[in-house]
Amino acid sequence: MNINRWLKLAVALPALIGSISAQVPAKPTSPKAASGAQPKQPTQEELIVMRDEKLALPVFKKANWTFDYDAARAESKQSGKPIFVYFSRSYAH
Amino acid sequence: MLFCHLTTRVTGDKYPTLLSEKKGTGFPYLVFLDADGNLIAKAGERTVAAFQKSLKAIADIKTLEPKQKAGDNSVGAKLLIAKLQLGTIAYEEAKTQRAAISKLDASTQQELDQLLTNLEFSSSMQGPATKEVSAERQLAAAAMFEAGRCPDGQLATSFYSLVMTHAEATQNVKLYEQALNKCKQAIGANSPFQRLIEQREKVLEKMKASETTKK
Repeated sequence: MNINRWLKLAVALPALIGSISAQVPAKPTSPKAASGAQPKQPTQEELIVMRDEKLALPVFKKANWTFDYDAARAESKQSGKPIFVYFSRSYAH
Repeated sequence: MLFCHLTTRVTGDKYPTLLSEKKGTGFPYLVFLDADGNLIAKAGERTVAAFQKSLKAIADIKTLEPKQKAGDNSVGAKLLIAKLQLGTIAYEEAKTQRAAISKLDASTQQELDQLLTNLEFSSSMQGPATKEVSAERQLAAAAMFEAGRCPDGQLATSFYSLVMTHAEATQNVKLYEQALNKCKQAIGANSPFQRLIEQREKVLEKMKASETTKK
């Protein structure tokens, strides 16, 4: 594997790391409201908006990110490079 | 190859359970996968240097494993170092492989043994810490310390804390002081753990005073 080509990608990492650091550690995302009532769950339409907002974040423009698992594996097979995966979520901010 | 997977809860989005399939339990979760989607390694510290180190280790494994399989035993140490850096080998297996490696230059030997020490300690910290287990861990850490096997990096603070807790419980002033000094060296002057160090220094003073009173 050509490490130098990977190093170029590392340029984008500080931005990614900053973005990640700003996130809250994973916890169940359905905290009960102060009254004890269940919080309102987002609708499918709201979830789609949240997903699209996440995908539009500037951090994903700083390097050649793909959001397609099949495409990632196909490219990895072709290039012989491993896949670096950043798992995140869009349904909670 | 950079791939971001979003868990969206949007009905119809592909691979909604990919996170759990790749052994993730929370966000963010950073891993390296091969072209078939197999988990190669979890990413270590979230720094560019650690990322580069992981990539090098992955490349080393890819290059060295076929050589070792072909009978080239000279690559054993480098291969083991790469596996230890990626955290893809269990402690007992690593210990066995280390025992089979000889004739190392001083720098490789030091790097390999430090990584093995780190794995020894992190393995001993697995699982829930009951009161009994905590006492066992403190004792084991003290034994490692006295044998000269001290983890470094992110593990250092928890390691030296265990040694000092054991030394305090057994009123071993000498051990406490040695561990505190090593801890200071390991974490440096600008560490966020300075307050912990100050607290430990106060404990040491009390232990010394108590020892003097007894005499």
